[in-house]
Amino acid sequence: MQDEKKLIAGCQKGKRRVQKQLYDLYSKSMFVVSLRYAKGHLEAEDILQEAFIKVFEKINSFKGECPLEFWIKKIVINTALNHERSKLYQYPAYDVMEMDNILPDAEITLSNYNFKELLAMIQQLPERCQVVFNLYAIEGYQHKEIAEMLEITEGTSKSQYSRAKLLLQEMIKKHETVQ
Amino acid sequence: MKEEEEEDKFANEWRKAFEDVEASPSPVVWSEIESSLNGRAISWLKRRALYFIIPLFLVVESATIYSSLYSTQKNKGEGEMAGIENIQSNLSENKSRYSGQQNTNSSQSEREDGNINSSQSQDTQSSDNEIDLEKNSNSLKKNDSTLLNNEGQNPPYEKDKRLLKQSSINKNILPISEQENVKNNLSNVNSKDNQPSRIISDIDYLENLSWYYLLDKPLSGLAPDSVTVNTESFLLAKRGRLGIEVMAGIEVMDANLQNDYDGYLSKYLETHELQNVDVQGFFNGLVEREKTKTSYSLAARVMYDLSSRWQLRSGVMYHHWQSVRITNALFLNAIEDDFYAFTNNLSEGNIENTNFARAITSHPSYDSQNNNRMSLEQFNEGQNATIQNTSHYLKIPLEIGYTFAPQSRLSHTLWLGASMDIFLASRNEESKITQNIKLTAKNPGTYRSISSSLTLRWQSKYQINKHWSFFVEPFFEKGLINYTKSNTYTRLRPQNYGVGIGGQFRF
Repeated sequence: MQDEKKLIAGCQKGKRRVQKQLYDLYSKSMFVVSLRYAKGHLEAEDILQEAFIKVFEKINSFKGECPLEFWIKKIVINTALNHERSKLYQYPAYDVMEMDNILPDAEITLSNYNFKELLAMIQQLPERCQVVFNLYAIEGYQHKEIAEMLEITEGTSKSQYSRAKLLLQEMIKKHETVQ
Repeated sequence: MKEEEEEDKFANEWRKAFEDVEASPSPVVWSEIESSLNGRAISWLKRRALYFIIPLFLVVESATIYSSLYSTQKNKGEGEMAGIENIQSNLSENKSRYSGQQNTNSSQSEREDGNINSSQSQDTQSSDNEIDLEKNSNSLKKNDSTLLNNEGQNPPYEKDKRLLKQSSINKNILPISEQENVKNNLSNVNSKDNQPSRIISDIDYLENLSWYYLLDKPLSGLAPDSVTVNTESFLLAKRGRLGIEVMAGIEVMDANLQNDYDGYLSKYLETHELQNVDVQGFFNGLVEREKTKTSYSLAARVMYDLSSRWQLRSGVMYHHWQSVRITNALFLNAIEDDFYAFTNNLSEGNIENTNFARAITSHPSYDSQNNNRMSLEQFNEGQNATIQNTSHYLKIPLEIGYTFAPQSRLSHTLWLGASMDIFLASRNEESKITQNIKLTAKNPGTYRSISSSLTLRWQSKYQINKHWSFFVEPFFEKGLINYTKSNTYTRLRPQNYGVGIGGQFRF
């Protein structure tokens, strides 16, 4: 905690060495967050780069009201959303009822999959589904919050999640069949 | 519904799967962040500097132009402007006339010292040449009548000349006391109407004097009241219409390289008879960025004055350009386990290259019997390459310039023109890459073309003496038309901006 305060103070003074320390500390976990929202390595690196630049620019406004990691993660997610925003509107939202009707209710376990395989599945989802799935399933946001963040209706958020769930289940099934 | 969400086991599984997972980004990311932070720090300073520099520049520029225009108008209004050209003409006439007289009256050509005697000079105004010289003298009187020699004695004439030369060497301007000396000399000459050799010397003296005057105090003090103004021709005659200059510049070049990947790929597949490969949208996942780097230029130019304000200029400019391209347009040849970059390969000459064809046919998902829909992501393995390009260009510009305040020691010229751009050589180097990536063509011929650019330059020039000036020249150049070879899938429309410093010599 003390180290974190020192890191924050150093970054606030613009010390490049301390900024590098902060980057080394959080870049690996934040890169995974970026990868989940991106379609590939290069795009994820772009998001990470942009996010950390914002972190260093806005670190003076960090008041310590939440853990630093949480604050950085929020910036990474917001950067990813901004990055994706233009793409999001290219995809039509599906009707909730329509999606509910085709949603299967199967239990799955992911312990047999490694991180790269799961990541590849998420990255294969359509953009809007990918974002909603990440926000709901992994980040833990509620559909209402997601709706506000993405400026869509709550119903659309739910339907996108349902669609993502369906597509992922299909991918898992396909993967299991091949093996 | 909320309970349903909370109990979503599917979501929980995924959340758990991603808990405490880490992945290392490429080292390029930090270096990009660092350079961006450095760049922002510099641009912050630049922005603030610009807040001051631009208004200051505008004020100085406006003041220079205004003072130049104002002084011209004022002089015209008060009838004080001199027809220097007419003076020259008169002086030349006088020179030849007195040369004639000198031959016949050599006994009277010795120099005599004399006191200022205004009544004597009044008596000699009947002669044409004397009228001109007297007018000059009167003008000088107007300028500073208080600076008359207290003792009423003229310094020796040769001493005046030496002083003038020394003064011009030291300061490049004529000290005000010299005006009085000139006045005294001229008055003295007028009073001695039988001294042709002295007058000839004075004529030379006056010619020199007028030049030095023009540098800082254009035309003032040498103005006969009744003569027409023509400063331009005098300036041209004095500084020489022809000049040469050299310049070294530092600049930033944005290559604006446009690769027609889709066009190339269609042609490539057709050539290699891979019609069962559907490449519609193959490059949808293409991510390319270009970063500018500091570049350099050298120029040698010749200029010719059309008038005192309008000039033509041409010559040669060498540009050493550098840029960095980050691209994911790569493909893995699974047989050889080698990565290749598409870039540099996009030309008809390289279409026979089988690297990518082998990469397609050896891809695990390739089915030779059926249609194959493929995308870049299947081949680049999420990799990207940073490729540094160095290009050498030669530009031959033709520019027309308009000069503000041409008679001032500090003048400004706006140059507008076009240039023919000739490609000399180009080389690509891999720098920070995540894996060993082969560049199929290190010396790409794809840029080889003759193109043209629009050039816009602002030259602020300070005149040191009659022949030499130095200048600072901010410039902007933009690629206009690229006459690229028809078999190339690359378009280069560079735009560059920078600043140069150099020296100019006038003949």
